[in-house]
Amino acid sequence: MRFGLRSLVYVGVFGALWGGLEATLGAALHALRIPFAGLVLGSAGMTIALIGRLFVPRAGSLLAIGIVTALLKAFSVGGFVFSPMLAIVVESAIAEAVVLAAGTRRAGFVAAGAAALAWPVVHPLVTQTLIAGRGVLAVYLEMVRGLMRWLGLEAGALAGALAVFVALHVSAGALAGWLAWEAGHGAARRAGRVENVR
Amino acid sequence: MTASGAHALLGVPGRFACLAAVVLAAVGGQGLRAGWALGLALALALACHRSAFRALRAAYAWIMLALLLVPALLFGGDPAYGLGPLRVSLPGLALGAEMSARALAILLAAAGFAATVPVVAVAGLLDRFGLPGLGFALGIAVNMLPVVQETTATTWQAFRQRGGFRRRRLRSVRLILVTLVAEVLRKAEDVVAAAHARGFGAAEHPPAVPAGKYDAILAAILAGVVIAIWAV
Repeated sequence: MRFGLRSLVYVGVFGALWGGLEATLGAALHALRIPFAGLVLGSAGMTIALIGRLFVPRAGSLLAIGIVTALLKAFSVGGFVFSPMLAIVVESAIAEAVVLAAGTRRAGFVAAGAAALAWPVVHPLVTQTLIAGRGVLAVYLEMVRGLMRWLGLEAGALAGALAVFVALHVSAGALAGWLAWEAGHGAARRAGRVENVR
Repeated sequence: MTASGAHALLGVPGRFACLAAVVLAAVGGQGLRAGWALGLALALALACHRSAFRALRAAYAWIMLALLLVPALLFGGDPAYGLGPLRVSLPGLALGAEMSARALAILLAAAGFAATVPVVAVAGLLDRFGLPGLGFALGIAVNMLPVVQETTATTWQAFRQRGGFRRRRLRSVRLILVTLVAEVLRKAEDVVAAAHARGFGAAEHPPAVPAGKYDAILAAILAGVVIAIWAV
């Protein structure tokens, strides 16, 4: 993953856009305790990162934007915030892999956004397993079983709720990908940089 | 090696070795090994980065530990004792203690690393681990952050004052993004032009990663300690 000067500047600028969004919009959403704040923030961040991928059309640029954003996140709170940093890097790595596989077309961007935004569904389980070990999954499973017994729910109801939750994330990601494609090309036309965008 | 002396003797690679050793010991060890990993994290924090203990002042650290311990105590195995309406499990207590030890060890190591290593040096480490230029990109991002935030605020206000969000909201979001990205790209081009004019090449200026006198020795000792913990 080796970039030229212009590409590195663009990676830095799009990292700053995503990082600024995390610091401002993220703080506001969390302070106002808006539901699904992570989903809103993740979609907005992924839109920025995918637009960045249009302007730095090289393998690894999306991941690089994610890494810069994660390091900026550490700056913004004055310490290593392991969980959100990992989420940002993994989401950008997933989007990068999908764009590499599906190509930098509109459909590729939609698929990349959808796949990346599916990660937050499993992210808390993954980070807690990394930190506390696999035992935590068994404990959570037992808690869910106990809660379902207490509420008198069946497994089908839980599976349905989970499917809706996943669909919400994937739809938001797909919308982020579509928006990135549209806005990226619009910005390229406005900035007179159409030749940079593929 | 005193805590103050360690600052002069340990560099970024040595501190990275401390973090890696604790994470490897904690992730690779179950049962009693999690206790050894916590012991290693405490010893390293006392010897090399006492600022790590500041992390224990934060309420979230104790909430995180409680969230690991309490559910495990109640749902972690066959119930053995009754505490009012709650049934407490002894295997659950052991599981909760193990999970809390692992989490506390990683928390101390990460907090120590974060308190003693500047983020730019982390970017320098990434440069050396096969991601060249990321330190430069991070520097650009840090310097551009105020500009980007000001541009975002200006664009947002301009749209609101023109009633941009009253209808067709998705189109409005797209227009805001187009304006914002076009404006930010214009500023990025100024940075590129200035860097070119100064003959600046990103790869020639990777951020420094200050090394310490005893980094290699410490890394070798820690490798031995981790292998010993795995072998217990």
